[in-house]
Amino acid sequence: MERKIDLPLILVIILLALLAVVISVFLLSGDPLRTLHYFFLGPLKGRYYIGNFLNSMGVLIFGALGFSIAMQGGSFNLGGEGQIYGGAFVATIATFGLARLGVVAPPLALLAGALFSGLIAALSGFLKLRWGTNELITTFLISYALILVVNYLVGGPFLDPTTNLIATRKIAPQFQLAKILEPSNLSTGLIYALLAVVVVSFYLNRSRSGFELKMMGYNPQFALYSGIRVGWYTLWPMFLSGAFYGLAGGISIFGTYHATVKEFSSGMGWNALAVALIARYRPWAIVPAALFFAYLEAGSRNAMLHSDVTFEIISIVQAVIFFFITSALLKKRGGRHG
Amino acid sequence: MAYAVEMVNIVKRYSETGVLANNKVSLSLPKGKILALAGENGAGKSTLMKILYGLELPDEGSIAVNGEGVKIDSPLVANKLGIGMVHQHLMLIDQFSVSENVTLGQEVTKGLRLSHRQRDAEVTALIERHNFPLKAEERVGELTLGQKQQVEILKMLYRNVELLILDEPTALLAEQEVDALFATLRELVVKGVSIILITHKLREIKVISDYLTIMRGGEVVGSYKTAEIDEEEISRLMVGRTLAFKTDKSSYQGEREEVLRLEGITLNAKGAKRPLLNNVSFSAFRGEVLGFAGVGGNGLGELESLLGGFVKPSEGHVFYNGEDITGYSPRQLRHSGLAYVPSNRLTRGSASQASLAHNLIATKVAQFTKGGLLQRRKITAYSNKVLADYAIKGGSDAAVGSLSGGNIQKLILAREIEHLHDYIILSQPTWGLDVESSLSVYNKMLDLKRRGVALLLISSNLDEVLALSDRVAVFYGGEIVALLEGEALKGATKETLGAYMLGLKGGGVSGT
Ligand SMILES: Nc1ncnc2c1ncn2[C@@H]1O[C@H](COP(=O)(O)OP(=O)(O)OP(=O)(O)O)[C@@H](O)[C@H]1O
Ligand SMILES: [Mg+2]
Repeated sequence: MERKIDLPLILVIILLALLAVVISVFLLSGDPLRTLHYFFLGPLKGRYYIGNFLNSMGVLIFGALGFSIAMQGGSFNLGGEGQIYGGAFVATIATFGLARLGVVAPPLALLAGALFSGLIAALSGFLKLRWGTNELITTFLISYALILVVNYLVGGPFLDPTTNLIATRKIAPQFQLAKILEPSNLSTGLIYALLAVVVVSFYLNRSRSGFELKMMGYNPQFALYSGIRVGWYTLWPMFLSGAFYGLAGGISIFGTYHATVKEFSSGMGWNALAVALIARYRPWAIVPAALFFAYLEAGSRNAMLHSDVTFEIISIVQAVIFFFITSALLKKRGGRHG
Repeated sequence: MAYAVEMVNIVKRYSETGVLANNKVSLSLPKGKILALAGENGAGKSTLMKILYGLELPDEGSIAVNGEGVKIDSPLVANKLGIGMVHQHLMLIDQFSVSENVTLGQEVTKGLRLSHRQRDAEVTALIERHNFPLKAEERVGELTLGQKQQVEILKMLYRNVELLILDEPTALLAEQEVDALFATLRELVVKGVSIILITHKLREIKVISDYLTIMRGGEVVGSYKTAEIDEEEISRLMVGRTLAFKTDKSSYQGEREEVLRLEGITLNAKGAKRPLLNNVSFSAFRGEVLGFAGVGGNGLGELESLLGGFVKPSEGHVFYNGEDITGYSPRQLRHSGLAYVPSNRLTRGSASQASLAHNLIATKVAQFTKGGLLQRRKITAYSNKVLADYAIKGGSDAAVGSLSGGNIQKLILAREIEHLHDYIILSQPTWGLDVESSLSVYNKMLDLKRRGVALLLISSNLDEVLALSDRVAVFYGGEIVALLEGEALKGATKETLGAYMLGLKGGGVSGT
């Protein structure tokens, strides 16, 4: 059963977030009205800006699906940062080897990235199953180690010496996703993200496996009691979660960056997590949540480019959102008694 | 007369389900007295008490505490007014010690540091004053249900409550534990505390309360002085008619065939001197109710977990129809025919956020799957049918958490009975059920017995054990100290069982 959407609560959070933007702009900017203008209208000014703003939504959706599916199964995956980056890198280098395979090559390369990140996340599930280690901590730590490893690979063995970026070679054109709103970055990646929402929602609500995964998330003792394979459902949600993070990374490369640039994805994992929190882990709610978050992000970028505020403004807004959402959710939880 | 609390014309409709849980309910309690609140499952008792404790807000009506009108919109406000509540489902943190649980939210600080020693000392003093068999440093997870109940009460005593609400506190306690609880309540009353107690047990209403308010279908049927009304009358007012129950113990006509056998089961605990279960052997037969009696902490909880596959024995074997099933997981046991009503309906027996329908099929989802997909129509049809058959108040799509306590219990019973193959473990099957629902469970059990099912009944309710069982195994200190059957059981009374349960009699019976 889908939990009901708490519309008023979400509206309050959105209003508070917007209020936080206004207040911080007045505090940080010498010309607040100009800054606000760019913040709120900038992302909507013309194809280029609209396209870029919508484009960042795709990655947020994939990542938020990743975090949500683990949560639905009762596991935490805080390794989004590393799993996005790692998945992106694996998908990138997979293109180098797979180019000869023609049309099946792009999906295969994406899958390679997804599989890699899925296994990395499932490793934390395994550690939990085997030694009872807390996946909250292991996903986080492994993710950071992974970032360092990928940094090394991108800056060393896989460095493309022909550019002055620290990045791998570009992927071949056959792997690049079609553009939608040129000259913006918007690609078919967003469409895949929306498709993924449909698939995940169908999986959770209609399939037996999704049913069992959710039971595990609701009450693992009950799942065990019911005869559900709790061992498997300690691994599987983590694997799926990592795989979606991996796809988030792969899609960014194929749609936007076309090469793994060092630390290109820094912050994406946390942003996706914020989106999942706003959506309270429900696949459909992720779409508007991602739209909202992408808009704020684009607004900050615009304000920064055209006015005098620094990029910190997005951090402030994010912190405010995190704070309000988590406290609102915790309060909700405390209020219900048997 | 000075009233501790007066609730007038309280109306409460749950917006999620549209259920009118309280319809112009009024109730009053003079200071220093005990009020029993009774009524069938889903009558609205817990809801009314949650309103008094600030957990739910009423749509209409007024509340006065000590004669003054108040608005209670959170438990904090209730606490400030001296109101404390022990919930139907215990709310303790298993990982914390007794004293940590008791002082939670009211931590003793010394400067800025929490003072553990002072805290433990205070709680120890409190424990000693009330003669509870508890230690301040013990981890709550290791306590028996009766002890956990006492911790909940300690929590309230620590906060110096003047009005104590207890929602079905006795439902899982053995009679001796109930007596201990009542002794505590009487002491509190002497000190001027007023008490509201929800219970389904007529005996308890008579024994402990001064006043009685009966609810049905969200309304008050009547309020009485307990002394002026007898048990029969109470029962009639609660269900609206008189109920009769007669057990017919020897109705299974088939062969006496063994279904389940335990052989020399021993369960050792880490760090404990005695094993939790010591060389336990018995057999359960077709068409027979095998009852288990014991005070909390004497091995019945472990026996239940072991039969359900949650713990594995250190020694010994379990056989099912001759096949060795020792150490099977719950999943394997489910496949080999386990049906099991656990004593803990919220932590083990249900997923409260999931729908009724999903809770009903969780144990056999394969039967409702085709090509990996759930057959939603089939699920809804099945669920609607079961809900109707077992008179469960709630829709298929509602979350289990929105049911009343008794209805959750009925849901679990329904699922397990439907799942049943040839044996069933029933632990506290009538926990929180009203008189009528309890009777319907008993009738169902007799029905199963006639069909040749082996029933294993673990219950703290000795009347229930004596009325239904063909044989009774009494546990003390992790061992079976008596196995009563035939004439011996016919002659047995609660006092006989009680003597074995307290270890005053018997010892070293090896089961058949
Ligand atoms: N949180 C909730 N959301 C929606 N409906 C609820 C909720 N809690 C209770 N109800 C409904 O309100 C009615 C009264 O429930 P309540 O828990 O007060 O009954 P009760 O008298 O305590 O019953 P029991 O003896 O079974 O514990 C029931 O029909 C129940 O389904
Ligand atoms: Mg109740």
